[in-house]
Order: sequence, then C-alpha cells, then structure tokens
Amino acid sequence: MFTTLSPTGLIDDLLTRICEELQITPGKHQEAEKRYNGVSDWLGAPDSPLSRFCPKIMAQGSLRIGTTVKPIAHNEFDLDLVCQLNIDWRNAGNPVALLNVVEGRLKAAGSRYSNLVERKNRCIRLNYANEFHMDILPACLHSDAGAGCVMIPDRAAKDWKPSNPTGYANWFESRAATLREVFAKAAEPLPEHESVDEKKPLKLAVQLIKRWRDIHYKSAPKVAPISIVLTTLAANAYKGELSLKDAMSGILNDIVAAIPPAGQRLVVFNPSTTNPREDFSERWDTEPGYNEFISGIKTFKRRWDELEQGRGIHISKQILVDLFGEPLYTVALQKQAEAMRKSADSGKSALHRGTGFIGALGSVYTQLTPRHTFYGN
Amino acid sequence: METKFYKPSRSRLSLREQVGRMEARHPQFSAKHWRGKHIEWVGRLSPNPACATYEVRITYNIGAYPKVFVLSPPLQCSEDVPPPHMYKDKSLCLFLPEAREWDSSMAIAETIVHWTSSWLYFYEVWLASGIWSGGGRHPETNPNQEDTVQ
Repeated sequence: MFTTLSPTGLIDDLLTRICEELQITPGKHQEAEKRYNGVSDWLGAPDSPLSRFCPKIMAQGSLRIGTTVKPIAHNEFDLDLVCQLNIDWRNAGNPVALLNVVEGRLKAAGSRYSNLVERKNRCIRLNYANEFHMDILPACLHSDAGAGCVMIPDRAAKDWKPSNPTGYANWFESRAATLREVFAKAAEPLPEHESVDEKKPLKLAVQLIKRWRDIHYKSAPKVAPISIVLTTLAANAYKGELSLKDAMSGILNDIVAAIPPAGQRLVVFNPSTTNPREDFSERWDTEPGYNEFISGIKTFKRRWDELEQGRGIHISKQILVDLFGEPLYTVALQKQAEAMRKSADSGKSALHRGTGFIGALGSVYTQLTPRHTFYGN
Repeated sequence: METKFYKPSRSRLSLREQVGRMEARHPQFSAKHWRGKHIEWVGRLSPNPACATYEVRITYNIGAYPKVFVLSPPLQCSEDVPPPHMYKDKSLCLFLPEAREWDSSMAIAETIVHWTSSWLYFYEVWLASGIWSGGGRHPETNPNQEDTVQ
C-alpha cells in the first residue's frame, strides 16, 4: 500500500503497518460490540432496576474514532464506553449511587457478568481477560444543553459534569477529513492491495503519538500525558497532510511551537463543550506531568526531524525503534518486505525511468520487471 | 514456487541494441568503455525515495553474463556478515543462471537494472532486520560466472 511516487512512500508504508499492529482488529471490534450490546440488554431488561431509563451503551473515545492502541503493560485493549440513561441528571442523585445500582445489576443473580466486574472511581469495568477492559461510564441527560450533551460523573465522582462524546467524535472526524486531495488517485494502481481500509492520516498519527507516549513514559506511567490531551492536540494541529510522515512533522512542530513561556501552561480545551469550557489538561495544575510532557514532546520532534528522506531504510531503523519499540518495528518491516516480494513475484512491478524507484505498473512506470530469483552466497 | 521465464525472441541482442535500450529506459546509465564485445555502464539507482541512492556499475561481455557492482556507498556488513546473494567477486547475484532467467536475447535495461533496484531494497531491509526477504536460492556449489551464456 505504498504510493511509491510520493517522497515519503516507503516510510509512510512502514508507519502505517506499525499502526496496523497496534489497533484493534475488525474481528475484535465486532466481538467487543457484541459484548457491550449484551450488557446493554441486561441492564435494560424488564426485571432490571434501570429498565425504565432505557440504558444504551455506546463506544466513545478511541474505539469510536478509530485510534485504538494496544497497551504495553497488558494484553487487553482499554475500551471507553458510555451508558446513556434517560434520566435527567438533577433527578439522578449522587453519581456514586447510580454507579452502585449499575454495579448491583451487573452482579445480580442470573448475570453472566458477575465475575468480570471491577468497580472503579467513576465507572464500572468489565474485565475480559486477554481481550478487553470495558470501562462503562454512566451518562445522564442534560436537557438544558445542546444535542449530544450529557452529564457524567466528575473525577471525584462527587458530582456530575458536562460532556459531549458525540460532539467530540464529530469534531475529530471533521478534522480527520480535512485531508487534502493532492494527487488524488495517484498515477499508479497497486499490484498488491491490502485488505485494510484506507485510514486517514490524522487517525494514524494519533495512534503513533499514543504509542510513543506508552514507550517514552513506560517507567513512569503516572506522569504520562493522557490520551484525550494528545488526541486533541494532534487534531487541532493537523493541516490535511496526505503523508503520515508529513502529518506527524506538522503536528509535532505545531505542538512545540504552541508551548508557552515558563510560568504559563499549555491548555487543551474540549472543542465540543463551550458552556462551561472543559479543560482536558486540568490535571497538570494539580499533578506532576506537565514538565515531563514538554520535555518529552520536544525530544519526539527532534527525533522525528532526523527521519530525513533518502538516507536508507536501515538508517531510519534506530529512530523508529526508539520511538515505537523494536518488536513492532520488526513485524512491520517484515510485512512490508513481504509485500514488496509478492509484488516483484507477481510480475506487475515496474521501474520509474530516471531514478529506479520500484512501483506498480502505471503511467509513470514504464515497464514490467521480469521474474527472477536472487542467487549466490 | 514455480519460476516463470521471460520469453522474448531467442536471438542475441547486439551491444548496440543493449545500449539503445538502456538509453531509452534508464538514461541515467551512461555507456562507458564500449569496444568490441565489451560494454560497461555506470549510473545511479534508488529503489525508493526513502532508500539511499547507489552508484552502480554494470559490465557485459558478449558470451558471458552481465555483472553488477555497487560502487558507492560501499555495501555494509551486518554484524560482520556480508550481504547475502553476492558472488565472490563482489558482483550481485540477481538471477539463476541454470534456470535461464537471463539470456542474451534479453535487454539488460529491462531485466538486470530492475533486479538490481530490487536487490538494493532487500539489502537495506537485511541491514535493518538481519533477514533477507527477497526470496532467492543458494547454489550447492559456487556458481562459475564464466559459464557460457546461451
């Protein structure tokens, strides 16, 4: 799936393959959906204390916008879900009370979820070992606010606070869609089509940034920047670049350029809630992590700038291994090489006149490469 | 894996025809030392903008197989192991002689140059991973490059 005409062809291909290794597979996604629909049904069943609130569970966060990243520390994907309830937040009482009811129902007689339940501060987690951690956050109606606005437990679970998961997802999708249609339908068709759907560069960039975060702060996870902050920073900065490498350069440049002088802090607002504004980055006021984020992101940008073109696949290896981890890099490179080999064996690859760039047969690739076998010692 | 042969007409291309095809397909390869039955080209080749650019020499004597040498940058070893698929004289192994994957009726510009670019990509991957992913075979005995070409 490399557009070899573009200057960043094989690097973009490699980075995309890294993301493929990180994200939840379509099969697992479907499995997750089946499971949380089942939870919805159980919570809304006629004999459930919640049935009159018509509970409906929906994906939010990375699962909804397509930026899932397999964590380093454990096998399970962390999935954020919202359980919408048709009850006005003013009538819902204390969030803890509502969480108690949800937990109770999940552990009730006849429930298949009893063994999976783990109570967290503001959500209920269902642990599917080696598959998912499903964090279910109750959400009540916020009738005064606009469409999509709900109330969810605040961080202390003492009160409700406004949120807008649908609004955020829509905003993110619109940012991802600003993809410039430069060289739309590039000259060459590909001899080997991947079965993965074409993922928008912004989504892939968010995955890479989250993976960088997991690697960089591996030994100090408590000071790692949170995903919503990174996702929002990236989406704000993205300018529609087609190439993933260029999108990353643009995003990192933008974030570093936006760092205010000492004494002030970078603020990352929720773009989908306006009254009141939600500060995704408020944690930096009360907990350590801001300085670590600043130094981390500057280092990230510096390393990314070292990924110059034309130096060789082997030269970029160390940078990519440092940023994203060796096992991931190795698998991605092997898959790329395999695709190149298949393409060569298919007899449909060709050479660009004047440079020798290998690509698919098309208008700028003038001739087929005959089959051959490497030989010798 | 079954090897399919490239089957053009069977008569040998003249050096003039080889030069003509090279100029048309890969003008960056200039013909040098063209006399009698011997020709040499030198040119730059890169498998992809992400890869390095290599200066490559292709030599061809009528009656023998073409040889390809990488002039610069020098080919590196990986953990003291030289790259696979090279002959003892440092030329690249690009095809199976006994399988007639190349014969003198084929244009070097349409075969050898392509296989070289492909070799260079897999070489860089080998440097990065230690694995040669381009397929290929190793001979049971060292191939004698001076075997007569059909």
